[in-house]
Amino acid sequence: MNPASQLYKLPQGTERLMLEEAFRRQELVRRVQDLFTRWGYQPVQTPVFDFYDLYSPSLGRNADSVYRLLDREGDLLILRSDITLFLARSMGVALREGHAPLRVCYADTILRHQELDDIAANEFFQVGAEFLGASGPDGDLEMLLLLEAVVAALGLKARVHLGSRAVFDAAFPGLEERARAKALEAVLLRRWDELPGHGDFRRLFGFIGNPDEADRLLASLAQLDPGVRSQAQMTVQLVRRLAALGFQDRFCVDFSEVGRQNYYTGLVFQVYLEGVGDAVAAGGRYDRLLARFGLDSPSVGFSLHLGKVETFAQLGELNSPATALPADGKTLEQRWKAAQKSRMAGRNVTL
Amino acid sequence: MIPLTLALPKGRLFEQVQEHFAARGLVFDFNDRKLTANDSSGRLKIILVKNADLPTYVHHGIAGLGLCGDDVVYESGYEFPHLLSFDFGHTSMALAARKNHVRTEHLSGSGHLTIATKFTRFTRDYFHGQGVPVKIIRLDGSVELAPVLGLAPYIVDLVETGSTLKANGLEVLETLKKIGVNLFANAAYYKLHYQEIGSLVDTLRTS
Repeated sequence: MNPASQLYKLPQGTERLMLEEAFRRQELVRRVQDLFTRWGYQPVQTPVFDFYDLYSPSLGRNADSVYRLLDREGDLLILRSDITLFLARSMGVALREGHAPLRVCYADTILRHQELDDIAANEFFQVGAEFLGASGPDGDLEMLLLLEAVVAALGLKARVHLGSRAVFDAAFPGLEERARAKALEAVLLRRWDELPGHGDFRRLFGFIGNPDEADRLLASLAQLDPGVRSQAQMTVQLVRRLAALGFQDRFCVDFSEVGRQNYYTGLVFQVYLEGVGDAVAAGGRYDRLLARFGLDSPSVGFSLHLGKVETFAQLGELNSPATALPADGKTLEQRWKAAQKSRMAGRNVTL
Repeated sequence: MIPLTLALPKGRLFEQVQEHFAARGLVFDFNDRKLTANDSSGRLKIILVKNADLPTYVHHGIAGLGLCGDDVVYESGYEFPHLLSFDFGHTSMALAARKNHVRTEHLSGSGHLTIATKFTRFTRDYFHGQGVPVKIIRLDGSVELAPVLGLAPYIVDLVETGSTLKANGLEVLETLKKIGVNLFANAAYYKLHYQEIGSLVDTLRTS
């Protein structure tokens, strides 16, 4: 490849933001981080690369899109493709059994391959939060309320669809890995003729609606075994608690949400926004993920792809550095003095 | 009511789709070479796109819904929630060669097949799934010429009646897959409009 064609070609999976775009990104991140701070979530930073073998069992459908490289000792490395995974590895090693519940958050780039014709995926930068040591429905509810606060802070008119991997697991126990992946895909792609089991599963996993509609559905499904039913009722109850707090329009029950990542164990959810062809945020409960890295601790979290929501976020008027005016004065010293006064008054000024 | 957006393919399916929809009260036409139209009931905004581009429009959510053959979606590499299968437009993906072609390779074993096709992804996945190595030559049209002119002994192509094959001295060796026509959705669009989409599917399902 000659230098000129390299200069204008962009490697797949990279993003560059400049000037106003970069400022807007910075502002978005700042607002979300401020919110995390007010909710008591402490920042963590994960490494840009790590040993591939640690992560390979957890990659699932993303295995094809990760970047791998060799270090000088010949170890196979993986570039950070999913912050939840990298965070689980760091925390799994750093924390000890019986640790106090820990609330952490992050805002960082991720590196994944994207197909040439899939530039709209915008999966370059994740902000998110994880509640480590959070067991039970209250942990789930806290995470969903925090997600709602983030969505509201960015002025997004989004809807959160809540489902459960535990419902799927209870419905299809003991499936070998290949059959299980096929059944998951049947639910995600609504290919009901490929879904194993009885006809009630088709109606259950095809359902989207409010808690009352979900209750009526569950009452009408005679073939459901008690394990599946009780997991489904837990999801409905969670949406009911959110509705009681005034968020009935923001959350719905959606049993076709079973989670794309294979580390989920319970609650799973995705956030949808009109005009975006993919979920903008996703999360759930992953009670066994940290154990893979040495710490058995239940956890729940979510991450938001900032690039997907940037153009939809309502941030009000931004005090951008591009609006800075030159200071008055003949010499630089005079201009500096004038500028200091203007800056104290909140204006952006150049010398 | 905000209409649902639906991408339809230009070409062989269009008239059958138009007829199927019109019989269920969803009448539309594309006048003056326009590529967008609304149906008479106001439920649909329809965009007319090239077959191979259709999955790209749906994947990016530009069109919320799409309708085309399995073959087109498979080649795109995208996967979409399935909504409805239609009973028209069925065809087959077939392996063909010149009449009386003598197979020197084995369909299982180490010998590879050289195949000319437009459906490279399907062909590769199908034969690799059967444990057969393949060398694929991509062509975009008139694939039947490849065995006749000696570019490749085999082709993989859609076969409806088989008359084009016959006219060029070719024959079907094996039907690889039945191809159906489906309505599908962008996953996020489905989540945001599942009620309206459910009602559209009910309308289209009526006989």
